[in-house]
Amino acid sequence: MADIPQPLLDAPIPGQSLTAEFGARPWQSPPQYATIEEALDYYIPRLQSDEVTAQLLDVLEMGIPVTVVANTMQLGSVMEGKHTVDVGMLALPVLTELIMLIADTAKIKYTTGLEDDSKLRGSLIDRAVEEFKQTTEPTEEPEDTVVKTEEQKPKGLMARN
Amino acid sequence: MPLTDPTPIIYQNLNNALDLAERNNKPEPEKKGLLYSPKVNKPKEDVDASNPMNRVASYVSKIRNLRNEISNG
Repeated sequence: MADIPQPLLDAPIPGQSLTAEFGARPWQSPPQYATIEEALDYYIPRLQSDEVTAQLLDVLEMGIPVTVVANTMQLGSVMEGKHTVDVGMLALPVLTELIMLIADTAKIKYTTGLEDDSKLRGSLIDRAVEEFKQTTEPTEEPEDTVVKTEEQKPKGLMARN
Repeated sequence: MPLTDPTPIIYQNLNNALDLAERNNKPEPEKKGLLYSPKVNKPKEDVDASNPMNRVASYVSKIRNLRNEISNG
């Protein structure tokens, strides 16, 4: 079945961003860390703490891709007003590498999220094979409807009688 | 579909930039021969450290080297 785009029913309604006074949200005030270095100084000690590392490894072992974890971290910090979206985008590759470094150090298997999308999941292949089998299974042919035509006698100069 | 996770794109672009920089920084083989005219090598332009992208690239390559050391034993 083809993927049908679903309507975004949980999207904000138009004008929702204006329901709070401007500047009331953390991301509407100047960020706490203005440069990439300041932001990394905020992230690295957090990632190195035992508590966060244990949680991080749990999440990675569950199969959550590294890119998703990194993006969630920076997005959360943007919402808290720690840094701007721009600094968050700059921090993304560093965070991704750091998380992979932590996972490599702990020697756990993880998904990077950078794998080739063209690879098909096993379940998809199974489903396609099943559908193919169903379409190619021999079906009962209706009674012989081919009308035998009378053999036409060859005509022509070279025909043999 | 809206783009919700830009990480793979950013990471891939940075990888490509790092690969390109690495290729450009490889020393050229010394040319010898009768027709070879030695030219004064131009000093390579220093990486602009004021550009945050360059700084990020250097951080990423440092962490990647560490990762390679760990994964290669």
